[in-house]
Amino acid sequence: MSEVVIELKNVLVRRDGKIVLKNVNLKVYKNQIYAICGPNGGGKTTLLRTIVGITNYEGEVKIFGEPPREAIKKGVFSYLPQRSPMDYTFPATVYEVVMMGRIKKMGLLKIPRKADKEEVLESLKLVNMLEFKHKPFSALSGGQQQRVLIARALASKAKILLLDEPITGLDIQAQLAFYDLLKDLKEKTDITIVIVTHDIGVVPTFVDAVACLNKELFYHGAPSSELNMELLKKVYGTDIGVLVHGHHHGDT
Amino acid sequence: MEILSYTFFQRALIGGILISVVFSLFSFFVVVRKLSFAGVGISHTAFGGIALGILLGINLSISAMIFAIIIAVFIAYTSQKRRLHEDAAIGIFFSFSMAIGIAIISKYHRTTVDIWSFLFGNITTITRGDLTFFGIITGIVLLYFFLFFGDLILLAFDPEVAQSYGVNVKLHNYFFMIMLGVVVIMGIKMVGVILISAFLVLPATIAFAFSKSFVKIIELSILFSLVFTIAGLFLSYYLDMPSGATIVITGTILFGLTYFKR
Repeated sequence: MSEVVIELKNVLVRRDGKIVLKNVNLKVYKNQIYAICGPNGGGKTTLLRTIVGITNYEGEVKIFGEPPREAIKKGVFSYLPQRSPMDYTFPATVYEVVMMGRIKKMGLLKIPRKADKEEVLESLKLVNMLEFKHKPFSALSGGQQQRVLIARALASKAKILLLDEPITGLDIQAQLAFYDLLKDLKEKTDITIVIVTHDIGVVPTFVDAVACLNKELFYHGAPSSELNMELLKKVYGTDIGVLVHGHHHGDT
Repeated sequence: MEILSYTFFQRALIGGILISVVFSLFSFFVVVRKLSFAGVGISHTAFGGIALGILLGINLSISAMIFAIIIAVFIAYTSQKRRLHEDAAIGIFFSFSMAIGIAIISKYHRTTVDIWSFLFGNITTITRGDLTFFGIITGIVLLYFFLFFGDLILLAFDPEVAQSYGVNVKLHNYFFMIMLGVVVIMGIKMVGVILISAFLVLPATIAFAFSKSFVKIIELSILFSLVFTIAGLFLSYYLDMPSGATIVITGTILFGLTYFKR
């Protein structure tokens, strides 16, 4: 078994006195694509924020064997929150946005060096956005913007990529292309990817492990037949259709 | 160009150049982070500090700076705690500070201090000591931007991601507001408490019409700010108009000319 990158033991998170997450135990291994699914309000984003160390929690969280607030200083995370908190009209070129991923790698004066510039171009190439490098970020489509933000994450050379609902607002074609990109990244690098989604219809087709979350974990493991309709009904509280390994099971 | 031989004008030019550079650096962040009203608020609070300085008999620039910094910290604090909307907090602090200023000055109206020059600026009052003070602040501001430019950009663009990169968002927000409080004092002699916010808003707003790259926008902000400040200073002399008002009118005309380009 490869190295454990993320480990949570008996994690509990409260917000305004209310329990948002409880009894969460999970392990994510190096170079895995790990999906966290569950209904809206089930604590998926909170779980990501807990892993990154920007939410207070009880229990134990270890990132490469260290608490998140220690790991964060080493630049191990690249976190892509849901679309809302970011300023998508910010005046920056695609190149400048990706260069932001390098700020923790630059020297004291934060002036990009040759290695930084090369890393930015390489990352843009990986996401097929090199030809857009001089374009304004605000002028791109949702899918293209998402690719640029992934390139920023790659340029940061972070070891863990955390994506919160990354396909929201993308059309089907862009969604599939995005998933292909993730699979490609897994093959070409040793990055560990944690992806949060409420759409369980597509995710199990390519992930290595899945966690079903609704305040607590209902399932944590490989996307196998154990991930059945009964279990999903418990997580989502309703009948749903699901696609496991590319086959439809129990459509309603 | 006999005007250039006058010491007061030379000082005004040097002061104007320093102020243009410093305020242009802040201007980009003030505009993209939608802090224009915070800039107005902090600059107006300096008036309360000036009045307090008159009352206590201490250096007016120092009392204004301390007062502006305290209010800037309060604004950052209230916006972080989210108990009060930021613009409501600014509105309260800024009118409170102006009220204190007016109350003190009306009580001590025998003062020899020219309040009018603090409100609207007076370049003839810029001393050698002021220029040294401007120079020190410019040095501090340049160092601040050299060291934290990347963090500030990421913070303005994507605060949550900045946090995940280990950028201390809270500390940066406080520090930015404190620095804003410090630089506002620089501009008071030139354009006064009332008009100084124009220096925080106009440079970047004009530059936005010409580029979608933040590096270019900041470079252009400095250029445009220098153009309208120097042009405004010359015009104020030849048209015999107050320097602060002339600079702001010149900057606004430049904004008007570039508005339809965007």
